[in-house]
Amino acid sequence: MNDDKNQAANNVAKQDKELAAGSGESMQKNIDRSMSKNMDNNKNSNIDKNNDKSSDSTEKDFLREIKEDAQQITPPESLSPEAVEQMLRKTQQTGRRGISRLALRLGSLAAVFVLAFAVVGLTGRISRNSSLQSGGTAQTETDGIVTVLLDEDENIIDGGYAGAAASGGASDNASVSENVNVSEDASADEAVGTDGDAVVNENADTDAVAVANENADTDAVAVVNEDDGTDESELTAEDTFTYASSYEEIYDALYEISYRNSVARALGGIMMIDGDMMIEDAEVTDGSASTSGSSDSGSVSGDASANSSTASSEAYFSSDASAAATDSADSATGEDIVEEAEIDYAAEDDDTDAAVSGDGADYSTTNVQEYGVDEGDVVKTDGSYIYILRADGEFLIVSVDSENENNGETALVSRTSLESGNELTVKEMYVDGDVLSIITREYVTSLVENEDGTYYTTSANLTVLYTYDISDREEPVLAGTVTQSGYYSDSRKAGNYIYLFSTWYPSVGDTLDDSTISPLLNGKKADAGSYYLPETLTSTECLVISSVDVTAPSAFVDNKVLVSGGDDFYVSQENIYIVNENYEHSNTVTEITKFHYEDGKITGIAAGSVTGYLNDSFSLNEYDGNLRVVTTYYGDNLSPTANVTDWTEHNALYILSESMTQLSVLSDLAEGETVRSARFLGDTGYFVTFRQTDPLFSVDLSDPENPQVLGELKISGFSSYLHFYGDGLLLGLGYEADEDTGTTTGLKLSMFDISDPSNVTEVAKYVIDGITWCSSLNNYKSILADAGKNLIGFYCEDRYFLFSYDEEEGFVQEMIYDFYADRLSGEADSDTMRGLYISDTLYLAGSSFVISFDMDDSFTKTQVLTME
Amino acid sequence: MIQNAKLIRQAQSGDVHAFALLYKQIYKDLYRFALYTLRHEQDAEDAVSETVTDAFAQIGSLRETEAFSAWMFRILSNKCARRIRSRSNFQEELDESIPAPQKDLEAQMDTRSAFESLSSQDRLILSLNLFAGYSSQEISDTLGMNPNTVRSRQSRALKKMQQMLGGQCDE
Repeated sequence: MNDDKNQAANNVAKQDKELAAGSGESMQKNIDRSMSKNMDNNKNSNIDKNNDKSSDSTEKDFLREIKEDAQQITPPESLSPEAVEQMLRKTQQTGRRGISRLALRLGSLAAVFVLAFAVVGLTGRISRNSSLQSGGTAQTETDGIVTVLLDEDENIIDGGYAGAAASGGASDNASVSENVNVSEDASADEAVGTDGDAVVNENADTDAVAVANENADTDAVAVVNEDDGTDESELTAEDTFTYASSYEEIYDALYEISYRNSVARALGGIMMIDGDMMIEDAEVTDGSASTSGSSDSGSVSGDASANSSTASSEAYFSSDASAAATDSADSATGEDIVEEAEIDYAAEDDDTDAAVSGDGADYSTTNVQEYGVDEGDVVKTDGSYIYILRADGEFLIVSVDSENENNGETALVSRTSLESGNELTVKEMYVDGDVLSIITREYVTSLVENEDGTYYTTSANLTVLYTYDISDREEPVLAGTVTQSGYYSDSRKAGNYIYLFSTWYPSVGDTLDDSTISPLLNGKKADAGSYYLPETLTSTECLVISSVDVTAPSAFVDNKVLVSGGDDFYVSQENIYIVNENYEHSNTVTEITKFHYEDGKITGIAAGSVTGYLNDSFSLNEYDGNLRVVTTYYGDNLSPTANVTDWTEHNALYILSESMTQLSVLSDLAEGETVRSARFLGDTGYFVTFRQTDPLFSVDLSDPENPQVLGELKISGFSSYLHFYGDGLLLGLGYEADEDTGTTTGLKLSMFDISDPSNVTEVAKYVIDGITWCSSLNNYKSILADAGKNLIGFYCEDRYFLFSYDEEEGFVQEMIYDFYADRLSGEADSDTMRGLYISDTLYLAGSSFVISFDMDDSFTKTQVLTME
Repeated sequence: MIQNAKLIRQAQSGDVHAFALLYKQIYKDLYRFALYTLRHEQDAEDAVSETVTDAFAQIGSLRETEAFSAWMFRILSNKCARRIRSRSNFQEELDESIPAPQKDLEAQMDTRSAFESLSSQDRLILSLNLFAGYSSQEISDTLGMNPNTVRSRQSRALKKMQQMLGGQCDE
C-alpha cells in the first residue's frame, strides 16, 4: 500500500496545486477521493503551497476561470480511451494474457457492494484438537465481531509449500548456502477440510506435487490447512530459492520481463540470489562471483557470516574507495570503520508508546505499527525538544521548557537547511538521542547525447539520508549522507540502524552492455550477489533495501535488491516483510518476501504467497516467528488459479511459519464484506470488515494451525484504524454508516471491550455527524492514541480533535482546535502537523507553528509559536 | 481497490486495458493542454496520440509508479515544445509580436482566445499549471527556467490576458 500512499500523495499534491491554480473539474476528480486524500509523508503539497504563496487570490481566481472555460473542450473521438485502447492493441505485437482477466476483475469490482463486518480476535486458547468443531460459527454471517486466537506454539508443520520455503529460514543468520538448499525440505502440505470436521496434514514432496488445493470446504467454516502454492505442477522446490551469481543472470530475467510475456511464468516461489560476494570492479562473471562469495564468507552461518558480510558491504559501499579496495575481505576493518566514525549517540529502544510503557518518559512518540521499530515522521519529540521537518528542506528545533511553572514554553532554537544541489522533496525524519536523520527524495536531470548529436534529458530519482549530529541543538552538524538510486518508498529504524527502501527502475536494453540493471548506492553498483529474483516477475521494478548505521552515517552497512519491487512493507522487530500484489490470476495473489535484519545486516529468508489482497500493513503481524496475514479475496475458492466466477468478497486469515510455509488458513470469513482494519495482539487478531453494518468477529488464534472464530458483534459503521487502548480495550477510529446503504454519515469513535474474547462488546461510541472524510485515519502516524495519558487525537478537515475515554462517560471531547481560527488554515494537514504531548502540555506542531495547550487547565491555549 | 500503481504495473507488463484506464483519468486534460498550447486541433490531437504511443512503449521505464500523470504531461509537453519549434522561428516571432487579437472589445473575447494570444512559452507555462497541475518549481524544472522567472512570467501572462478580457486587473 505504500504505492497507494505515494500515489495518493501525488494526487494530493496535484490537487493542492490545482486548488492553487484554481481548478474546476479536474482530472484528479476521476480518482477515488479516498485515495487522493490518503496522503502520507509527501511534502509536495506543501512545497507547492510555499511556491504558490506569491500568487494572489485574483490570480488564482483567474486561473480557475481559465480552467473552467477549458472544461468545455472535449477531445475528439479518436482520443477516447476506447479508441486509444483499440489503437494500442493493434500496434501491440504480442497478445498478453491477463488483459481479459483484468477487465473482468475491474468489471466485477464496480459491482461489489459496500460491505461491512468486523473481526476481533481475542485471547483465550482452544486446544488444537478441539479447534475444528467450533470453527464454523461466523463465516456465513455477514455481521459480527470475530475473535481469532493465535497460537504461540512454535509448532511448525514439517515442510512447507513450494511457493515459499527455505531450509535456513528459521535461523537468524541463515547463510546463503543454507538458503539455497531448499529443495530437500520443501514439501507439499496438503490438507483437506470438509465441513470443518477433518483437517489432514499430509506431507508430500513437491516434486510429486500431490493434489493441491483441495479446499473442498467452502460453504461452512473453513479451517483448512491448504497449500495454495502447489497447484502449479510445473513448479518444483528447486525453483523456490535458486542462487544465481551474475549480472548476466539478472539481466536475463529482467529482459524476459521487459520483452516477453512474463505473465505465463509459474506462480509462487522465489529465486534467490544471495551471497556475501565482493564483486571486483563491478565486473562480474559467474566464476569470480561465486569464488569470491565462498572465500569471503566461507559459507559460514550465524554471526560469522553476518560479520564478514557487514565488513565487505561496509567497505564496498564506503565512499572511501581505497578502503574498499584494500580491506574488503577483512571483517575487522569493516567494524573499525564503524567505530571510528562513531558519534555520540544514545540509543533509546523504547521509541514506541513510551508513555504507556512508563519508562519515566513523559512524552508521546510517533504512532508506529510495531513496538520497538521506529518509523520516520515529519514531527518528532524527545521530551525536551520538538523537531519539525519542513517541506522546504529545513528542519526546526524547538525547545520545550517543562520546568515547573513554565507551562512547557516553546522557543525556536535553530533552523537548518538541507543542502543539496538537486530538486528535493523531504520525506521523513528520525531523531534518536543526539542524532537526527532526514530522508529526502531528490531528482537529478542530466543531458545525454544522441547519436545524431542532439541531446535528450534523462532523469533519476535518488533517495538520500542526511544524518546530523545535534548534540549542540543550536548548531546541528551534518555527520554524513548516503545516497541510493530510486525514489523513496519507506523506512524503519531499529537500534542504531535505519533501513531504507527505495524503488528503482532498471533500463533494460538489447544486451547487458546496453542496460542499466544496477541501482547505485553511494555511487557504487549493487553487486549481483545482492539480488533476489522472485520466480514470478511481472515488473522490472527493483526495490533497493539498504541499511545505514546512524553512528557511521556516510556508508551503507548492507543492501539487497528485490526485483519486482514492493507495494507495502511490514517490519517486525526481527524481519522485513515486503508485500507484492500479483494479478496474474482472477484473484490477487499477495506475495510476501521475508528478510531478516540484525545490526544492519539484511538476509533473505524466504517467500510465500497468500490469496487475496491486503488492506494495509496492519494486515500483517509477526508473532512467535509466525506471520499472520489477513486478506480479502473473491469467490469461494482460495486457490489462486481458480477461475473466479462469483465476485463476492471473502476474507481469510493465513498463518505462515518462520520459513513462510502455510500453517493454516481460516477462509470464507465475512462473506460479502471487506477487511477495513486489522490489529493483532499476541495470540489475538482483531479484524474489522465492512458492508453496511460492522460485525465484529472474534477469532481464536492460539493454535496457528487451527485458528477459530469465537463470536461476533454487530455494530454500525466501521473502524479503519484499531489501537489497543489499555487493558482489555480496543479503540476503533472510523466512520458511521447508514445501515441500509452503507454510506458513511459521520466520524465514529468506538471502544470495544475485548477482555472476554468470546463476548466482545462495544462499550462506547461517539459519532460526529457530517465528517465523512478524515485524513488522519489514512495516516496512522498522524493519530495520537495514548492510553497512559488518556488522549485520542487526530486531524480532520482543518481541525484537530482531542478526546479522552472514561469508563462511565465514554468518549469525552476535550478539545477541538480550529486551525482556521488562528489563520493557520492551509498550514496544517494530517501530513504536516502532529499532536504530541510533553509532560502536561499538548502541542500541535506543524511546519510553521507550535501551539501549546495546558492539559491541566482544560486544554487552554497557552502559546502560539509561529515560524515563518 | 484497483489503484494507479497497480494499473501501472499491469500496463508495464503489457496490459493495454490497464493503460487505457490510466489514460482515461487524464486524457481530457491532456487534450486541453495540447490544444491550449498548440492552438490547433489537429496538432493537439496528433501530439496526444504520439504521446500515448510513446508512453505505452516506454511505460516499462516509468521512473516511479506514482507519477503517471506527471510523466504523461512531461512527454506531452516535450511533444508540444517540439511542434512549436518545428513551426519554425518566424511563426513564434509572429506569435510574440502580434498584439492581442483585435476583436471588438464589446464582443467579449473569451479566455481561450486570450490564452491563445500569449506567446508559446507563456502558453506552455500556464498549461503546465492549469492542466498538468505542475507547481512553478516543476514547471521551472521541465522548461529549464528559474522558478521565479516562471512565477513572474505566469503573473505577467495572466495580467496580459485580463487586460485583453476587459482589464479588471490594474497594476
